Amino acid sequence: MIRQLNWRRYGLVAVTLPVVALVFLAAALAPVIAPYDPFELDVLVMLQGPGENHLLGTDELGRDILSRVIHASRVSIVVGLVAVAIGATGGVLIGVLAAHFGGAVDSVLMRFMEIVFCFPAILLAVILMANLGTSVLNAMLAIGIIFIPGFARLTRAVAQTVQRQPFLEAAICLGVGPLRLVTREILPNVIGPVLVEAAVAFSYAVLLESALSFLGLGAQPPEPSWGNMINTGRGFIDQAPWISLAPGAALFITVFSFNLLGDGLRDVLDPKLHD
Amino acid sequence: MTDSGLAPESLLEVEGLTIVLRHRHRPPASIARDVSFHVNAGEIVGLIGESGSGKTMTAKSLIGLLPDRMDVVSGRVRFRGRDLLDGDDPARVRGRDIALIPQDALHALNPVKTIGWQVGEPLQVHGGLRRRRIASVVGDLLERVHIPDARRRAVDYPHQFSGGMQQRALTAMALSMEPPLILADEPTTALDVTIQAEIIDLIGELRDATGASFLFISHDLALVSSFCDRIYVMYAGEIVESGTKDAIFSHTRHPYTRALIGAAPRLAGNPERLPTIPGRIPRPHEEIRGCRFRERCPDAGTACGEAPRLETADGDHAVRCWYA
Amino acid sequence: MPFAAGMPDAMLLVARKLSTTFRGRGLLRRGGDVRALNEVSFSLAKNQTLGIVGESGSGKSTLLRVILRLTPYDSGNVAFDGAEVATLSGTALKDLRRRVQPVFQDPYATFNPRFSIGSSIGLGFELLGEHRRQGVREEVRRLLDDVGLDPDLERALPHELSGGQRQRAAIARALAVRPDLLLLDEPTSALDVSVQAQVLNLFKDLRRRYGFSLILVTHDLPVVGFMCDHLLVMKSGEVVERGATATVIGKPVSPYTRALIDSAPEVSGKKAQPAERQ
Repeated sequence: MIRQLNWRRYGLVAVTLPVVALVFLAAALAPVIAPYDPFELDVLVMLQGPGENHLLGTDELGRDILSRVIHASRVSIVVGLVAVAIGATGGVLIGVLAAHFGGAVDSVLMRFMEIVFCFPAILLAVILMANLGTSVLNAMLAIGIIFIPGFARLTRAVAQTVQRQPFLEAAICLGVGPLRLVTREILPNVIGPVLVEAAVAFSYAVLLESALSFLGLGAQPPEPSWGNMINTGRGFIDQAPWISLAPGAALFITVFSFNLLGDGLRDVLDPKLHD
Repeated sequence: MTDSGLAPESLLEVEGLTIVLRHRHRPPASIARDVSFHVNAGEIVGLIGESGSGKTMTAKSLIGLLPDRMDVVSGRVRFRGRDLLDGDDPARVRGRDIALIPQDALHALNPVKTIGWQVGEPLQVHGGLRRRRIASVVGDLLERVHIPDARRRAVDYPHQFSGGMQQRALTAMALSMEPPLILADEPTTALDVTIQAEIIDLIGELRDATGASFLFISHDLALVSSFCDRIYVMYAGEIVESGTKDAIFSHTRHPYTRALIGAAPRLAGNPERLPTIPGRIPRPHEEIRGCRFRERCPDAGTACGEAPRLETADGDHAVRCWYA
Repeated sequence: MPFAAGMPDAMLLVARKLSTTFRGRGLLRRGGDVRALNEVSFSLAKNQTLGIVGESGSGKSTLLRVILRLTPYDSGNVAFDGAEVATLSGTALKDLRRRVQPVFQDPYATFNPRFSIGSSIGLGFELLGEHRRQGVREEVRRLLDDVGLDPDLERALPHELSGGQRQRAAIARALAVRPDLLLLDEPTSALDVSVQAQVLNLFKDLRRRYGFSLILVTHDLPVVGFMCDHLLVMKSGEVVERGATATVIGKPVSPYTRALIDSAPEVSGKKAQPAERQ
């Protein structure tokens, strides 16, 4: 049966999902769809403006900007996915434990989370990399750790609400064991808000990775990333603004659409909005 | 009109009130249809019905508090001979002429203002009294609703009051402008039975002392039967039976009222099984031909295919049923 | 049962001098302790129906939660079928969980909003060891029919049901594990009178068919008058009166019971009397 799309419920997701899918597709198929090799130097076409051969122009070494932007999306996406995975896994685990045990366990875990939360992300990344060396892997780790407290707080809040619900007590009284209680009764209620948070966290991870790369702490040249491309472009902002503008626009579109996707998921996942 | 021959002391007259709920994809549904009733001066009138009967929206329409998508599409509401529906701004009637005691005491009070301030607020808005005078009137009001140590407790905040005391404070607030009519929307549902009995007693006492009328809205037949002078029974948006307390309970005529009375358990002498009403109350948008209770009625017959009218049987006792 | 402790065979539940205190919590709030139960004793024979009445703060709901082991108690003891509830663990605790089932007041909150009604009811059968999907489904549909619901409602989400339907579904979930004792906490106070009558009749029918004992906690004396053969009146954590329902209602001894009876409105047109203020 074909039914009219419920715009109030699915509208935002219907609009943002194609954009998000496009970003993922570009990252996955980068070698296929990029018109040039992103590392290929061509001194004859240095700092060329957008034109027929190079749609988004070239940089100071004559590399094709479009190809580099497309390839750079891979770094952003991988960093975003891995960081969110670290943050969500750690956060949900800690949040559920804190809510389940309560008391001292809860206090210790949450105070610790607050300490991590107070740490500026960039600073944590710098400290981590000072010890482990600069690399994309360490950037992901640093960003992922930064995300743990947010997910932990969210999970704990939802789990605590659920634990006070009569339906949980009904399950306890049926004889459902503690592990099953968490996986069957609590987690399904946590998943919705966590997914919403994950979409927003993903956009923040992409932004953070770009910031780290901009500072030279993420992807190392010549490996392209939106952050280090913007940084390179800084020196040529008067002569060749497209070097910074193209990755900047890619960054903006990705971050913006993931943020909207988060909002949209909130509407879709509310069971009371079912039509 | 079935409510013709109104006594001259009639304070509120509602005639043929119809309220609809507008819907984007469906034709409008009627929440209340052709509702007529009256409240005389100094009377306590009960408006009872189960959820979905339209009793609350009927009461809210009197003071212009219908939700956004609901409208009064026809009918007349006359208060002391003045038409409330076209003409006056309902906000001016609210509080001064018709006050409301809401259902949920805790949420009806502002947690960051003192009880005294809230009880005195209508006096400030409508009255223009001096501050000192207001404080003294508030003290009197709180005393009148039997809040112990009233003058001292006026500076307390709502959370320092028990549920029963909060409901008393709300009653004091409703009384502040000395309105001739007070709507009480299930004011005791959230309270313990002994506290409920106290509030009911208070309402009777206030009626005797001030001569104010009360329209008491409730789903609780037993409660209403204990103290209302006259009662209107609503079902699926219509008044199906009305009359004095005695007429309704001792000479019940409508099958729905009878079923409702039978369905309530007693302290003692209960049957083995409670009589029940099969099926469920029709939703507002459901199209029903004939009597709206027909599908669930034990006495339904051939005549019920046509909608019955509310007919006055004897004196004040009216019933909407072909076979009553 | 292996834990026989010299109890008469027919006693299903025995509470002796049960006391519990809610401590004022937090660093800055001391002395906020509330005696929620004070030396409460009662017993329930097999196949009995016991009504516990009292107003808010009387401790009636706390008592239910103690029996269900959702709330700990300080002193005294409560034994189900001869076994002390507080000391149970492992299989014995699982057995208690299965044999004592609650039905709570708020039918909106008693189902996990993410799962269909059928899935929530089916959980009980899974816990009993029925793991075949089709087997669980058949049992769920049969049970829904037993409580007077359309079996097709198994697929409905909780918010799609009316209050009365949800309470029926909650009863079905409790019955899925074949309990010996049903604990009802204000099961009909959120329902309309006509729906309440249906649900109360349903309890009676199901009791005849499934043969469980029943404790009904309520503020509504007439409901106990209809449902229960024994009555326990509580006030401020203490039992003020107990006995056969007809006797207690007919000849109340405690002034508080009398006040409760007087303030309970009845459709007879009796004037509810406010209790004397202490």
